[in-house]
Amino acid sequence: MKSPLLEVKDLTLQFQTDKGIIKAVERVNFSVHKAETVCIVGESGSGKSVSSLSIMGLIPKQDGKITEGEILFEGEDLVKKSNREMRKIRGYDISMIFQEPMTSLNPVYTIGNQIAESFRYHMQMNRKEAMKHAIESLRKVGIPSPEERAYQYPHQLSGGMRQRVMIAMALACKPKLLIADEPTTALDVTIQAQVLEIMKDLKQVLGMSILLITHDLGVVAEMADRVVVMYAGIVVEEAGAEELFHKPYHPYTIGLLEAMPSIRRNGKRMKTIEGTLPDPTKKPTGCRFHPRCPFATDRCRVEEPVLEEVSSGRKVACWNYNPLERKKVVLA
Amino acid sequence: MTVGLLERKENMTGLHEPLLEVKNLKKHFPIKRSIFRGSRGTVKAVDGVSLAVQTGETLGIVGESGCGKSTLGRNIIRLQEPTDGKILYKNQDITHFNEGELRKIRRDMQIVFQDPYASLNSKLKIGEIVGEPLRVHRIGNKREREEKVQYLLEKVGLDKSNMTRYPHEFSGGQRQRIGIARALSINPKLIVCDEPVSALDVSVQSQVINLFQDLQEEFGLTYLFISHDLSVVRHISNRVAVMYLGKIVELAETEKLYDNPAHPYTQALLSAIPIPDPVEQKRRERIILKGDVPSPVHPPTGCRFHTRCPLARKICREEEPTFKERNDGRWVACHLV
Repeated sequence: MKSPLLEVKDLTLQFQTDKGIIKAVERVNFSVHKAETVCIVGESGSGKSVSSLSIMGLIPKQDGKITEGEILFEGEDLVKKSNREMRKIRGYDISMIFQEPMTSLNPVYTIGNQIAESFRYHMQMNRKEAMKHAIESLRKVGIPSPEERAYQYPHQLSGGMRQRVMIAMALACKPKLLIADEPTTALDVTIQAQVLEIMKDLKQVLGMSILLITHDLGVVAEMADRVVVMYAGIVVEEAGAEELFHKPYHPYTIGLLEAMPSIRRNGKRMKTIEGTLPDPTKKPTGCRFHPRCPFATDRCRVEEPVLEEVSSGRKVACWNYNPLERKKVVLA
Repeated sequence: MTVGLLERKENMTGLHEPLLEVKNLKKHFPIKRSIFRGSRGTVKAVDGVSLAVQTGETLGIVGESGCGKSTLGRNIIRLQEPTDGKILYKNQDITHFNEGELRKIRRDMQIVFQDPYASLNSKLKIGEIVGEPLRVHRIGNKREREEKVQYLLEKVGLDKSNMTRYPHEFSGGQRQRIGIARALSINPKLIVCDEPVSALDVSVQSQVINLFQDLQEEFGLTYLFISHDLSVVRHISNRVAVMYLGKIVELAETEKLYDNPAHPYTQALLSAIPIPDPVEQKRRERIILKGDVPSPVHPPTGCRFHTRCPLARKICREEEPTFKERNDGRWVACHLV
C-alpha cells in the first residue's frame, strides 16, 4: 500500500483546566489515504473534534498541548510547523468546514469577498481575478445565480446555502484533504441530503480525501470508505465501512449500532448502552468502556487494551473481541 | 399499537371522545419593523392545523425547522395565544381560557423541553425543581411533597439522594430525566414532548426513549411527541403527522406512513434520511429535493410544497389541496394522491 496522505501517530492532547489536566485524546492512531473518505464517529467527549482541530493546528497554545505523537501530512510532521508555515497549509493543502455555518462566516464581508480571500492569499491573484474565481466556486457548489449571491452577506442566505458557501470556500484552492466537522448536523434532513451529495460529487471531481467527523451513523454509512470509532478519548475500533456495519467487533460499536433508532426498525423497546459517558476528569481504570460493557471481565477493569490489528484493515481495542465474535455466531 | 387502534375504532362509533382536539388552529406572528412603526407582515407559523389525540396514544409531529411543529405544541398547552381556531380538551374549549382557568387545566397538561440545560433553574436544587409544580398547585404538605419527589426521581431512574444537588452536577441525559420527573409530578394526562431527545447522545437517547415508553404504560399517559428526527418518531408513535410550512400534509398510522408514504414531501423526507447500512444506502433510490423551504411570511400559492415538489402540476400552483381522509384511513393534502 502507498504511504497515506495523512497519518496521525500516537497523538496525545492535554488541556489545562480548573479541575486539573485533562487528556482529551490519548495515543490516537489513524490515517487517511489519497481519495479516501474516513469517518470518525463518537459521542460527546470522545475527542473526535479536538483530533481534527489539532491536525489543522487550531488548538489554542495556552489551553491545549500536544504532549506526544506526530501528525504526518505527506510525510511532514505538522506538529513541528510554525504558525507561519501552518497558515500556508491551511486552506491550501488542508481545508476545514465546521458545524455552524452561521458562526464560521464573517458577517461584515460579502461571501464573494470571503471566498476570494483564499485565492488572493494562496494564489496571489488580484481582486478582480479572485472574484471571478469565487463566483465560479459558488457555481460549483450549486448556488443559483452566483453572480448576485457573491455580493450578498451571510445573513441573506439560508443555513443550507451558508454551508455550501463554506464548502466553496474550503475547496477554493483544491485542497488535498478536506476536514469536515459535523458539517450537516445543524441542517434539516432534506438539506443534509443536498450537502452530502455535493461533497461526494466534488470529491470525485477533485480527487481529494475527506476526513469526516460525525455522531450520525447514517451519515457515516452514506459517506465513509473507512470508519474510526472513538470513545472517551481513544480509538476503540477501525474498519472498512461495510465490515463495521455488518460485523462490528467492539462492544461499544455493537451497542451504538443497536441503540440507534432507524426508520427501518420498529421494535417495541430500544436496545441501550447502560450508564453514562465517563467524566473526562475521572476516566475509568482499565478499559474505558468497562463500566458500560456487558462483556466486561476482571481483566477489563484493570488492564487497558491497546488498539491491535486483528485482521487485514481491522483494528480493535478489546480484550474479549474473540469470544464476542463466537457469541455472535452462537446467537445467529 | 393495539391500544391506539381500539380507541380509534371506538371513536368512530362515537363511544369515545378524543382527549384533545385541534380545529383549524392558526398562529401568526407579526413582524415588527421597530417599536414605533406597525408590522410589515406576519409569519404564518401555524396556518390551519386540525388533529385529534386519543387517550393513551402517542401522536408524533415531524417536520423540518420552521414548519411550525413547536409553535403548535406551545399553542396546544396554551403557552401562546392562538390567532384563530379552536383547542378542545376533553370536549371543553380552552382556546380563550384566562390565567386562572388555565392553571386548573395545566394540572392535566405538561411539557418537556428540548434543551435540558436551559429548562432547569440552575439556582434551585433538584428536589425543589421537581416539587415546584406541586407547590404551585398547592398539592399536599411539605412532607408529602418530598415523598412524591423521591418517588418520581426513582421512577425516572435517578437516586433519591440527588434531591439536594444542583442541575450543573448532572449530564444531559440525567437532566432530561429531571425534566420528565417535573412534568410527571402533578399526574398529568397529556405531555407535550418538544424535541426531548434531540440534544442527547445516541447511547443516552435510547435510554430516555425507553423511559418515555415505560412511563406511558405505567401511568396511561398521552404524548404529543414533536421531533425533527423521523427515526425517533417512528419508534415511539402510534400515529404520525408530517408538517410543512405551517400545515399538516399527511397524517397516518405509523406503519402506513413509513412503509408507504403518500405525500411527495413525506416520500422525500423519508428518502433523505441516511440508513445506517452502507450497502443498502448505496442501493436505494433517493429523492433529493431542490431548493430551500420557502419563507413562512410569503408561503407559495396553491400547494405550499409545489416549489420543491418533483411531481407538481398546474393545479398545484393554483389551488390549495384540502386535507382529507382517504379510504385507507390516512389523511393527505395533495391533489395527486
